[in-house]
Formats: sequence, C-alpha cells, structure tokens
Amino acid sequence: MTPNDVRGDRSARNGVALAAALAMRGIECALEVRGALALLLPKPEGVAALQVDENRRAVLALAKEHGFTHVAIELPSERRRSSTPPPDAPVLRD
Amino acid sequence: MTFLLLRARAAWPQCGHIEANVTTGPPQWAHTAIDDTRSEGEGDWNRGSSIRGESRERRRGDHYSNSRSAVERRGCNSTVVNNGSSSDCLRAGTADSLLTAMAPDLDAVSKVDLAAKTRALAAWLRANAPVAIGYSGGVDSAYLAVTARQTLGADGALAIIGRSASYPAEQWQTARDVAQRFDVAVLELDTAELDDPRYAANPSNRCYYCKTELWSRLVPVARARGFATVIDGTNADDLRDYRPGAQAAREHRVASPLAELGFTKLHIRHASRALGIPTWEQPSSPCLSSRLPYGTEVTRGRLRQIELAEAALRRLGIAGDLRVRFHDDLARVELAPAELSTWLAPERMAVLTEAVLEAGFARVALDLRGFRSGSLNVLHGVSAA
Repeated sequence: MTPNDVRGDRSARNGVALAAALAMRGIECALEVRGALALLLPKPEGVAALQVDENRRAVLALAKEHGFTHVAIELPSERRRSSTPPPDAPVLRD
Repeated sequence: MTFLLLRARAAWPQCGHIEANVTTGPPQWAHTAIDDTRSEGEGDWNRGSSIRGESRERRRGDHYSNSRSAVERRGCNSTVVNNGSSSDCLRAGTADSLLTAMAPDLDAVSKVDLAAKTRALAAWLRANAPVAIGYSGGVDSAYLAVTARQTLGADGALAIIGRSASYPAEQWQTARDVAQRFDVAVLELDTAELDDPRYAANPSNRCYYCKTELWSRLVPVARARGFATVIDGTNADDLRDYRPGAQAAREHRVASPLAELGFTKLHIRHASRALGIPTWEQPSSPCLSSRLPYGTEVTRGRLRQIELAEAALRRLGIAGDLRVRFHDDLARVELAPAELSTWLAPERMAVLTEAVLEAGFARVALDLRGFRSGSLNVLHGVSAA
C-alpha cells in the first residue's frame, strides 16, 4: 500500500463520516471526495438548506472537522441529468 | 423613494461609523442599504449577530428583498443587508442612488501615513527616473504607472504589458483604458511562458518561470529605450505571501517601490481612489494559470476555458471577487461570500451553471466558503487553511 493509497482510504472514510454528519443535520447528499475537497451532491431540499448562511457555516465546520479544507456543492444541470447517478447514490471516490 | 447604498468592508464597529454618517445625512437617506461584503475570514458569519444585537431602527436582511419589505412595513428607517446581495444586486433592486463609502478602510489607513508614503514614492520615482513599469492593469501596477506618469511626465514613464494566454483579455482592456485615460505611454510585448515546459508543468513555483520569461523580455527592451529602472507593482502585503515570482524580479534587478515603501493593498486602493483611477475597487486579478491546481498542466485550451467561464459570469453581473478553479471536468466557482445565497437560489443557480458549462466544463460546483485568495495553495497544502 502506497502513502497515496493510505491517504485515499482516509479521505474516503472522512467522506463517509462527513456525509453521515451532514445527514444528521438534515442535509442529505451524496459526497464525492477529491483530495481535500468534499464535493456535495445534495438533493434539491439540501440545496435550499444551503442558501441559509448558518447552514453553510455548519457544513464548513463539519467538513473542517473531517479533514477537508474545501467544500463545494455540485450544481445540478439538465445537460448532465442523463449521465449523473441518482442523488441518493453514495459516490465516494478519490 | 430613495435608497442610499453604502459599501462597508470592515468590522462592525467601523460600520457603525458609517451609520453615524447616515443618520446625519439628508432626509432622503432615510432608507439605507448596507452592502457588507467583506470577503475573508469567518468574521463574516459573526457580523450578522453583531448587527442584530445592535439593531434598533434597522432591519437586517440577507437579500435586497429585505430592504423592500422593511420599507413596506415602515417599521424602520434603515435596512442592513449583510449577506447575499452584491452592490450591483442592491442597486438594481432597491437603490436608486449610490454612495460608495469606504469609511472603515479610511479609518484603517492613516491619512498622514498615506500622505507620507505617496510623497516618498514620488521622491523614489524622481531619484530613479525614467522608469519602465511591468504593467498588467491590476490595482497595483495601474497605480504605479499613473503615479509615475504624473510625477515624471510623459517621457519619464513607460508601462509595458506582457501579453500571453494566461493574461485575461478583460484585464488587457482595463490596462489600455487606464493608460489612455491617464496618458501613460504603453508598449506591448508577447511573452511565451506556456512554451516553457517548466512553466507548463505547473509546479508550485510556476510564477518564477512566468516572471523569468516576462522580465527577460521586458528588461532588455526597456533598457534599450533608455529606461534604466524597471519596476513592478509588488506591494508590502505580497511580501507576506508565497510569491516565487519575486525571485525572478530580483534576478532581473526589477525594483518594487510600493513594497519597499510599505504600501499595502489598502494604501494603494486609497491612493488610487484619490487619483481617480478606476481600478481602486477592482478585485485582485492574478493570472489565469492560478486557477489550475499545481501539477495540472497549463495549456492554452484550459486557460481559454477558464477565461470564457469567468467572462460569462461577469456578464451575469458578478462584479466582486470571482475565480473559476479548474479541476479537470469540474469547474469550482468561488464567489464573494456575500454572493453565495443569491446564486444558490434555483433560478440563479441554473443560469450560473449554464454559463460555466458553455465554456466547456462538464460539471460545475459552487464553493461554499466562497472566494479566498490562494485557495488552491490551501487545497494542496502549500499554505495553511
């Protein structure tokens, strides 16, 4: 196992834990891990929740707790709809 | 009904200073929107509480619609909008008069100190005249070029632009406009940093290779034209940041009088405003390659993709800080934190997404923290989060 593998495993574990923590806060989303970037793929109600400053602040704090320096939300697109997985599908890759 | 829009960019106590001015203003200033757009640090989040805590006759909201509802209710005589609305948004939605007040920044910069610095800069320029300026049209080099022109006359200053694929066309236009307006002589050179594989490989010291290319072309041309002194717009804040390009400047004996004399970005913005240079409130504008993570090859195609995406977002009315960060198929958009709520609204989000996809990205993401300078340095562990 290379150092990169170890780091990748850890990131993936952090991603799972972050997704769970977000769900506990009522933000259901799939999460894609890209190194220190957590990419959220939330359901529509999750997007609405993130319009609120306080919720974004909470997400950022949780992400930081789980080792991520950056959090972004993927914006839904009609163009991608056919090729994207369902929003509740867990997507974890590094 | 008249609204007065104030832009406040510092901590709350200083916003209070603005409000004191407002309450002594003419009656038509009764309805006031404050666009509080400080874009760095987590202090953003705390400010809302401070404002709420101090609220008496004010109504605080997250969007310009709050200004409307506040006025409709007639329950307050001013409105504070501290998140979710850019000044453009406020202006379009509620404000029919605009006063751009940087009072907090004025408080933060001693006028005496600034006056001493500007005198010192003029003396420095006279002592080293004539000067050629590495000129991009950014906040710093625009101020330096205009000051040099005004201090040394038309023959005493030459602004030299290095053009390449990493230099946005929009900024090139700004550079030309400022030079024309202030009668600064301009020379344009093409640079070819992308042809240097050491640059294209995008190492963490990429800027060193870029500036090496720039200065190795610019300095001989300047000297051949009789400009023994070549200067750049590096400021005192830059010295605290990771700036490998500064080494190339030193190697080519390029001087940085703004940094040398202790001019911070804030000093330069103030001094620029005093001179009427439009770049005074322009967001910082590093080259397009800064949008690619280190180790991701810099290509003309990728730079073009980023430039198109950012230009498209500017056309949507995003005037403040903006970066489209390149992550292969994914564009991660960083906006000023105050813009985030606005652009997370479904209809705006769709417009933003389409604009970025049109530039050739397959996926678009919005960074939830918003713009931060050196974001990719943090992401890749080059600097602290």
